Amino acid sequence: MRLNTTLSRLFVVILLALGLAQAGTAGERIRVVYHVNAESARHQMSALRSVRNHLRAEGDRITIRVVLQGRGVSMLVLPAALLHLNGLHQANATPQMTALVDELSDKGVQFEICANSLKRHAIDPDHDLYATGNIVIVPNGVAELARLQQRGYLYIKP
Amino acid sequence: MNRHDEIDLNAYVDGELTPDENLALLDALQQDPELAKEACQLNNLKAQVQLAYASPPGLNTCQRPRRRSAWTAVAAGLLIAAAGGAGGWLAGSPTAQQDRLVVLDPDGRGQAPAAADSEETRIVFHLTTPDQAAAAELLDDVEQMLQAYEADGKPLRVEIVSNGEGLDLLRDRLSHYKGRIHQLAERYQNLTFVACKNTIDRLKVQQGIEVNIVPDAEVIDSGVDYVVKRQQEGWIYIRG
Repeated sequence: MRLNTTLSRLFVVILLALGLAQAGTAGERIRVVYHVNAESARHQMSALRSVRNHLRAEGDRITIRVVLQGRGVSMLVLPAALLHLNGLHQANATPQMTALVDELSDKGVQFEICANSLKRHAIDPDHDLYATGNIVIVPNGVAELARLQQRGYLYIKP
Repeated sequence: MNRHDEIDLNAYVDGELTPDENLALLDALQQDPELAKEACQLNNLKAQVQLAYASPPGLNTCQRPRRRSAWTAVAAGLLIAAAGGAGGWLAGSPTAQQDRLVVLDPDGRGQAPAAADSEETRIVFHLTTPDQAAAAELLDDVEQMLQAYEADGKPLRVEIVSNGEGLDLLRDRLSHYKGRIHQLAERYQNLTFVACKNTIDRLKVQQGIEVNIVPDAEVIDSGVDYVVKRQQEGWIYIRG
């Protein structure tokens, strides 16, 4: 019985995913990637507010990803990590920032962090990053920005 | 900024002022850093607006074939199912959240953006800020891409265009990374550094500076026009 339930759930999930992908190819969806590489919390908050406004304006018709590259990764670095960071002077994962990140994650915005940048600044992804919501690590932020644009994402650098 | 300045500034950015008016405005820009900043932002905005209208979505020639989407969907479905199974039916337990952080994008296959093998990937980088450390971080990622494409035998062309304050990176006396630029330009024939002549001329008129550009860079008339044209030609645009 339990196996049965699991299987049916799995089936529903696959159907859902197929349905979503289908909607994506219908050509009506707007897909946008926001590039953040500024270190300052002020700049990052303003970028996220732009994302929020963009979501409000387009509603269900938009898919947004936010790529954190270079020192933009500071957005999700916990302040406690500041002591051992290399070349990064701000750790902006304050309650104010993470509340905004969570709000956008809940609305389907995907956050992507550049692994090169984490390594360069001695950020330990397991301990130093705000680990919740819709967040993935990509190997090379610049390559990811190129890849998404090749897939038809529009590029915005706030 | 008053209304008059704003009109002038827009006209300046659009290249509509007479030479005399241009000089007067350049003078004003020099006196007023806020105004100069505004001009820079307007310039960038202009570039972005031109781009938005020049290359509507769907006309992107580099787009991947549609048939991939089914596989993406299956992969996504399996991934979600796996996460659901392991983490307790998407309950969002701490383990599941932790897992999500290290899961790579399902179809993110490492360094090289997916494209048909025969298709050349062309990327133009646009540097407009004086932050050379940020530019250097960008160069690291670019170098890694150049290596990955070379290793995979995939064609890639990269241009790094600097104008405005971004020009510092390519100025002989101001660049902190001359060696690095030279080494990269020597090593990769498919990488080009491009400097904006408008900026060079402006520095001369405004500040009397005779700008020397590093020998590895090419000089073109207008950085902004150049990156707009590149995008119209289907190049991917990334701003530093």
